[in-house]
Amino acid sequence: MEPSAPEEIAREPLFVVRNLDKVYGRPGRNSTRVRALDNVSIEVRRGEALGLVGESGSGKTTLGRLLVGFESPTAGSVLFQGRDIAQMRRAELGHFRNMVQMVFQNPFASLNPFRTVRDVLSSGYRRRIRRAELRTQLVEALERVGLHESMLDRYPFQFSGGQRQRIVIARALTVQPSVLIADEPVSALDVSVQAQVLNLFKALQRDLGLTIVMVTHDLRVVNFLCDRVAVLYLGRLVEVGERDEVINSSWHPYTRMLMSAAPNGDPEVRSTRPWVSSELGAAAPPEEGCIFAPRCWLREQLGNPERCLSARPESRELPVEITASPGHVVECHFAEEVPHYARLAEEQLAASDGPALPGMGSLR
Amino acid sequence: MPVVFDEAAVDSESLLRVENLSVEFGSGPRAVRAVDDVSFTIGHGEILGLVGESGSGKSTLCLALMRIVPAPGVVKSGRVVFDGRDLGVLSVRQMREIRGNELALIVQDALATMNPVTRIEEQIVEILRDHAGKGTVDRKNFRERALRALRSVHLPNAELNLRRYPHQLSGGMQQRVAIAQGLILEPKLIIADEPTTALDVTVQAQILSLLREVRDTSGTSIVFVTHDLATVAEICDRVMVMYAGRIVESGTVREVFKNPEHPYTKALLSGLLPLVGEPPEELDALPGQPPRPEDWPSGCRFHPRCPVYVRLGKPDVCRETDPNVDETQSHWAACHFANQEV
Amino acid sequence: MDVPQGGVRAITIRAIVNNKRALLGTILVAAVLLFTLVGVFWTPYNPISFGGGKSFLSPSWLHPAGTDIYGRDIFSRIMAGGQTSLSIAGVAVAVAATMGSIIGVVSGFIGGIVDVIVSRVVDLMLAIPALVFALGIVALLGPSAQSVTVALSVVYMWQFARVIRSIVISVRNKTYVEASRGLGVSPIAIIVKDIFPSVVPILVVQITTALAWGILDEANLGFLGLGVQPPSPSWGSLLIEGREYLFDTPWLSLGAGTMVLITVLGVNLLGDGLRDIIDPRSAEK
Repeated sequence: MEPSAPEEIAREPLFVVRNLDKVYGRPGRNSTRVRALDNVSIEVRRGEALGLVGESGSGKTTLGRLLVGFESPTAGSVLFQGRDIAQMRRAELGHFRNMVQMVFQNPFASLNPFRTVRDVLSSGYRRRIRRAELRTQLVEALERVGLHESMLDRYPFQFSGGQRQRIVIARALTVQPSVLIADEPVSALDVSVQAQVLNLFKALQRDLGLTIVMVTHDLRVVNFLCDRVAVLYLGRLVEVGERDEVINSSWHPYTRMLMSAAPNGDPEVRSTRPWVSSELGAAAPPEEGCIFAPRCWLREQLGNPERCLSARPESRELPVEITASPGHVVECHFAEEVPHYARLAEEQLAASDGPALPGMGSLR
Repeated sequence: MPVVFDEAAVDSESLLRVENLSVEFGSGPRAVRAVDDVSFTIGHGEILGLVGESGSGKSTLCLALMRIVPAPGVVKSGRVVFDGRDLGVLSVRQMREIRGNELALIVQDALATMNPVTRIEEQIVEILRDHAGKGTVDRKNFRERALRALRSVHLPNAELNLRRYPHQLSGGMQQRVAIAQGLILEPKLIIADEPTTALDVTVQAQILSLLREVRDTSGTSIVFVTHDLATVAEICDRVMVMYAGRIVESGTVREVFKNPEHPYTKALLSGLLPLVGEPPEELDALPGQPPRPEDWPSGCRFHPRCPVYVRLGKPDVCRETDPNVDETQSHWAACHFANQEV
Repeated sequence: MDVPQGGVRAITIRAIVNNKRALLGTILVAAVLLFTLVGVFWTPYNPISFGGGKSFLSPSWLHPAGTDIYGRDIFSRIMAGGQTSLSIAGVAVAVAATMGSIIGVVSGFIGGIVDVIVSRVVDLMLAIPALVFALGIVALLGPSAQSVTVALSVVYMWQFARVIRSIVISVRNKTYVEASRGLGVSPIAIIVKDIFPSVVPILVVQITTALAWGILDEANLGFLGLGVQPPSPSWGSLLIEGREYLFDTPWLSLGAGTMVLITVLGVNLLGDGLRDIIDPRSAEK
């Protein structure tokens, strides 16, 4: 099906991920097999900034790498502009590689210490172009990320982490991509430098119309930069929705837990987190039922309903009547109950002045 | 009861007093001063946050407190008085007694501090044996104490985990074991160098509340080193901000967060993005990057990046003189224009 | 600010003069080559013919390195022997390093089944004792200087291949290689620009050790009647001849040993120096 009008192309999602599974390890050897992604379906819209959030082992990095094509799916498919990446021919794949670029976490490992900035930046230019023209292009690339042309002939070791990350971004931009997939791009940077790089990402999205997929554990970064947020837990997508909705009034108990676990940064207001429980449950996902059930505070509040342990919740879109915006997807049997019980749990905690983490009581 | 630090309960005599401490790497004209003339105190049962970026000297300062600065680093000047004793004049042996017994260090990468081929039990018992002296080897008693230590840090299935190897535990559990190791000899002061940086937020929340619980139940003082102001707000009573080898602001957490005086602290606080609610359209980013110890700027070391310096038309005083501070104040900032409206 | 240079372009005469190790290495290597070159055309005494003078003379002004069992001037023999040693060992090591690098890089970079097969072959080749392996090849080709060169090349190749493969594997998964792939850079360009520079330091060390072994192995083969045979001298054969009398008349081996030492030292220093010049970070130290 060919899109007929330009508006339709614009509305068509850039990436469509369908029932994606990614399993590491050899088939047949169950002990070494790790299920990094489990039946993940999501769309990436043109021009948006999408945050992929989760703790370590959630599969967020794997999903990012599948979108760039660095990994191939075990099952399911990743469609870019309607074409399955796995089915692409050589020329098409080359085009795709230029359209989708990655920014890595560690700017100290992602630049070859033996190559100058000029050399690194020129490697994206495939065809021979005139020296003078190449130079103007490289200078432009540097200026776009806030660096000066005097840096062209320097080596990576002469730059700080923040500058290196700008060089990495500049390198990605030399092939004029439409998507940047960034894997924790600021977590290795100094606090006072992070803001510079985050501003740069925002400017790139705004000025160049880039689509940005931000893989991160940092909810503050997500809240600043992203239009939509996808929350992953143990390889499953548990919630997807508009930033405001996911951050401020989530419909999934895990997202609530994640949000409350982050320090609020205000010494006057004590963090209330009635639902942070042990990391124990994170060891291996249960075979049946909801993967989050072993750590779920809502299940406890609801009196441990049988369904949570017996049936894996379907990923479903919440009715527009209860969410502020359409397209809010959650994977929880009792999503509708989340706001009510969250309020209840907070009130209970405030009233009891109990231990900071009641969940730990059972571990003693 | 909500945990509120009770200042009246603190002994008037401070537990640790650091006076004009400087640490240099190398010697002669090429010596690099990583920590420069730092003074502060820690009270009994106090959690002091030490905030700084890479190269600010915060980790070197911690090592200097423990007297374990690696060569070619040397403590060039200053005193560290711990519980009434000057650590600088103690013999190597006496110092070793104090480390572990009274002073404990917890680092970011717990796994790296453990012997990979030794069971958790042995890791802990080893510490007990080292400090028990000769002839008091009581295997059963040691095991009991190790178990108690692991339970006190809420390590699940303590008995089972005692027989495990470090790599078989999750990151959070490893950090709990590291804290248990630090706590087992009931030190008076714990120096925790970025203990939660490598952990997931849900685990971090638990480790932070564990550290606070340790302080509340046994009155242990803690130096909590971090680059993350949000965690400081969460557990610290007082905070010191380090920049380029010096402390630039010090005060109670509430004071500093409410009325930051140093432009660097202000920048760090505004860089602390909101977790909830509407985000700002753009962040106030500081220009440049933190300087390296080899080329620290003259005068106020923050001036090349300082927005106030620019706004005031680059006054000479910032470039030429070190800001003076009255360190007896409960809240102070090393800035020439700290208390002025600019 | 002084902009440092790196990469192969950085190797200039000035850079070598400024780098102590590279300079010393160059001088030593040049001296050895000059010494050998002169030896090809002229030696103070006839290095081969018997019956000239007294045997076992200790070093003196007339015979700077003494005389051997047949009364031949050892200094002349060292001069004449350089050609054999350097040409055989030098060429063999150069060929082995090139072939080994290619095998190692290809096997490590491609990975998968190719790597498995190549690795097993390399293991197999390394399992055969070097001298026996070389003997077999020389026997097959017929004794001559060329066959010794070929034999030593083939024998040394695998060690290079193995070491270089392991380096390539460690570099292959670096993020910057992945980034280049993501930009659509061709595999050849990735090998040349991203991977090879990391291989150079190890290559230098391998080459120097192989060179020392090459000089000795050439002599061993000659001693066994293969390759260059007595009475034509080589450094290795001089060393072997002197071995029997090492305690009574140490100078028999000393001269040739010194030459081997100087050669290896020179190549090592030169390689180290070049590595420093190539690495842009070295300017910081």
